[in-house]
Amino acid sequence: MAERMRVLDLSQGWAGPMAAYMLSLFGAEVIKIEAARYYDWWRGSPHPDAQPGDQRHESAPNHNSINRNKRGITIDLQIPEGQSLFHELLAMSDVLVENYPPRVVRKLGLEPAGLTARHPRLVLLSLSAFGDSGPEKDYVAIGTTVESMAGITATNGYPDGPPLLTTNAYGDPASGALGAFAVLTAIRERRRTGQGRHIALSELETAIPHGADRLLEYAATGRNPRRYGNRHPSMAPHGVYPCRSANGSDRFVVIACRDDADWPRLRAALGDPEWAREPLLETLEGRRAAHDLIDERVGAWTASRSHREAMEELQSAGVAAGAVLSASEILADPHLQARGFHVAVEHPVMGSALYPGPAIRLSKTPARITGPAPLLGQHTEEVLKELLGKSDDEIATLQRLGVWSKEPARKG
Amino acid sequence: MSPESASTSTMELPLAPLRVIDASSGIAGGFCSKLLAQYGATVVKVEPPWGDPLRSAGPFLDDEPGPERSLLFNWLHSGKQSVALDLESTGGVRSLRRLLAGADVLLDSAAPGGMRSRGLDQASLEASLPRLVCTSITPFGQDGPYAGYEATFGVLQALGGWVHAMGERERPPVITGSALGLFMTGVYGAVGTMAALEAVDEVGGQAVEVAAQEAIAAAAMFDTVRFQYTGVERERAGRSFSSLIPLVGIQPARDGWCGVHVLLSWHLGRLFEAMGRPELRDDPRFRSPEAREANAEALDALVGGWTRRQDAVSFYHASQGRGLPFNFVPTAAQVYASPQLEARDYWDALPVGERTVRVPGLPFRLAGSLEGGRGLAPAPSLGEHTRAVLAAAGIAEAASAESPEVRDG
Repeated sequence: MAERMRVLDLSQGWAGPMAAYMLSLFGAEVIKIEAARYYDWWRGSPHPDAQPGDQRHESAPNHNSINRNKRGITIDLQIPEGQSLFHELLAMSDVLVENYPPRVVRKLGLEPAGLTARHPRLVLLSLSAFGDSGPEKDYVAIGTTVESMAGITATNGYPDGPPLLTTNAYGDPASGALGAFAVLTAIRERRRTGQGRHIALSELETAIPHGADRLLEYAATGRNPRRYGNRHPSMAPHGVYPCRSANGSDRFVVIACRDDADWPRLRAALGDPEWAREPLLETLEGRRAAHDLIDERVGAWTASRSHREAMEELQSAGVAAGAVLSASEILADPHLQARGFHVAVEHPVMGSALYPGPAIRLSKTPARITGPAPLLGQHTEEVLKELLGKSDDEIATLQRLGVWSKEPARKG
Repeated sequence: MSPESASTSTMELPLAPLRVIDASSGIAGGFCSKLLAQYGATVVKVEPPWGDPLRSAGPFLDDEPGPERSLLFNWLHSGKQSVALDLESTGGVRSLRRLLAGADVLLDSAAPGGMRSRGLDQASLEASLPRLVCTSITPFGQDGPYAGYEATFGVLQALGGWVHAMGERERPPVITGSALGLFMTGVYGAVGTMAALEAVDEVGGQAVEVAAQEAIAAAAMFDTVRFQYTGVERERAGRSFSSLIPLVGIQPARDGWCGVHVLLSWHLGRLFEAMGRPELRDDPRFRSPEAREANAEALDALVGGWTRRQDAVSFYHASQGRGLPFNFVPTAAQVYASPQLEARDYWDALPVGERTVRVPGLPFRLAGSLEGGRGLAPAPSLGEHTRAVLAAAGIAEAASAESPEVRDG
C-alpha cells in the first residue's frame, strides 16, 4: 500500500515505534531519528561500568524487535543545524511520529501547531501519556503506568491477592497498534482533502476501551468489578490446571467450558467419570456452585498429562483448551511454525534470531520484514546523501558540529 | 450512521465515505468495526435472526439480563445498523451479496472455510466485486494444525504467551481480567483493513487475515526475543512486572496499591530521594541492573516498606511531581472519577433503554474536528434496519415476500 509513504519516527520506547513498525510492514519507508546524546531509552540506560565500544545499547531485545524494517539516523534537534536538517527531511515526508512529554516537545520545537502550519500535508501522530490538556497533561508514563491508570490492572489477579500487571505493559501495544490505525485513517482522508492531520493520542484514553468488558460492569451496576482469578462469570468450569512439568518447570493448561452444550463434551473427554454425571452439573449455576470440586477432579486428570496432551485430547472432543506456553514454547509452537509466524532476522550485533512476524496477512500485498533494527545512527550518511543530496563535506561538517554521531554520548 | 458530535457533521470525519458490512460476531470483530465507525464509516452489522451471542453477554444494565441490556454489546455497536440475515440459507446469502454491491469492506469471523463454502470469500467475490476488501478475524487463522480448534480469550492468551509469566510463583498462573487479547485482535483487524483499502487503486480488493493467537504472540516479543538473546525464560514474579526486571511492579499503599516502575537508573535515584534515603544511590547492592537483580528482594522490601505508609493517590501526584512514571492502581470507580479524564471530556454518553450511561470515548482525537464527550447514537435492536437497508439495496420485494430467512427485528 503505502509504497510511497515516508515516515519519520522520533518516538522512543514501544508505543510510538510500534506504530511506525506496523506502517513499515505495508511498505512505508521508516526513518528512525535518535540523537547520540538522547538515544531511544528502550536501548537501556548506559551501564555504570560501560567501556568504550560497549554494545549494550544494540542488545536490547525489545528495541531490536520493534524497530526492524527501519533505517536509523542521528540528528540532534537541540542544535540549530540539526533543526534545519530535520525540517528538510520533514518536507519530504508524509508522517511524523513522536511521543515526547510536553516539556521536551517544547524544547525540541515540536509543537504541533508550528509543525502543521509549516508542513500542511503532514500527518503528525503525537502520543502522550495522558493527553495534551487537563491537569495531568505533564505527567509521564511507561506502558505499565498506562495499563494501571486505565483500570486494566485492577481486575488482574487472584481473588485473595493484590492487583497484578499484565505481562506486556499493555498500554504500549494498545497505543502502538491504534496509532498505526490512526495514521492510516488520516492518510486516507488526506487523499480526499489534501490536508494533513494532527492526531493527538492519549495512551490512557487509547487503553481504556481495551478493558471495557470489565470497566462497564461499574457503569452497569455501580459496583467495582472483582478480581475473578481464573474463573469467569459466564463460563464454568474455567481455569488454569496443573499438568506434568517439563524441563524442571511447572506447566499448565487453560480449560474453558463455554456453555451447557460444552459440558457433555468435557465430561466425555474426561472419560465420563461417575462424579461428572451429577445432573446438577448440567447447568452453569450448578457447575459454578461445584467449581471447587470440578477443579480438583479436572486438575487430577490434567496432572497426568503434558499441557499439550491435555489440550489436544480436549480439543479433539470439541472443548476450548490451550497449553500455557512459555517463551521458548511459543517459538516452537507447531501451529505458529506451520504458518511461518516467527521470522529469522540477522542483526549486526546480536546475530540471527526469530522475531514475531506480521500478524496481519494481506493476500496480494503481503506485509514485509526487510531488515533488522538499525544500529545507532547507522544510516545517517546514506540518508543525508540519498534524500537530501548532502555532499561528503557537508556531512563531515555536520558531524563536527555534533549534529550526528554513531557513538552514544548519553549521560546517566 | 456514525456517532454524532454536536460540533461535527458526519461528513467531516475521515472515514465518512466508507461502507462496511460487518458479518462478524464477538468482541474482536465488534471492536474492529467500532473503530471504523468511530471515525466515520457506515457500518451495517449483519447478524443471524437469533442475534450476535454478545447480545446475551454481560455486563447487563442493573444486573438484569435482557436482549437490549448488554452494556458491552451496546457500547461496541453504538451507531451501527442491524440487518438480520440467516447465512445458513441461500436467501440470506443472496441478500448479503446484494448488500455488498455498495460496500468497501466485508468483515467476518466465520470458522475457516465458512465464507468460502457460501461463496462469500474474497476469491469468490472478486469477479463481481473487484474492489471489495474482505477481512477475516479468527482465533487461529484459516490454516495450520489449530485452525479448527475451539477458543476463548483465555485459551488464546495462553497460546500467545500472555499467561505463563503472570501470577505468583507458588500458584498457577493467572489470566487477565479483561479479554485484552480480543480487543488487540480487533485493532489488528482495523489496521489490516485500512492497509488493504490503501492498496485498492493499485491491486483491487484483497483478503485480509488476522489470527488472534498471532496478534497476541506479537506482543509477547518481550519474552520470545529476550529468551533467544539471553537463554532465560521469564517466569511468574507476583507483583513484579517481570522476573527479569527488578522493581517494576505493584507495591502496597496504606489505602490501596501503587505502581512503582524503576526502568531507568535515574528513576531509582529519584525514588530514593522521595523516600528520604538519597544515600542509597551509592549502595553497591542497587548500583547496576545486575546488582539490582541480585538484590531484588531487599529492594522490594525497602521500597514496599515505604510505600505502605503512603496514601495511594498522593503517592501518584508526588511521584509525578518528581518526573517519575509511577501511579496508583485505580478501581473502575476511580477511573470513572479521574479529574484528568473529566477535564478532557473523555467519556461518551450512550443511551441504553431509558438510561444514558457513560462509556469509554474516542481512543484518539483529530485536532479540529473530532473532540471528546460525544452523545452517541444507540446500538440497534436486532434486525432494526433489515427492511430499510434491504429496500435501499433494491431487494424490498424479496425481503417482505418470498424470503422467510430475512427478518425484521
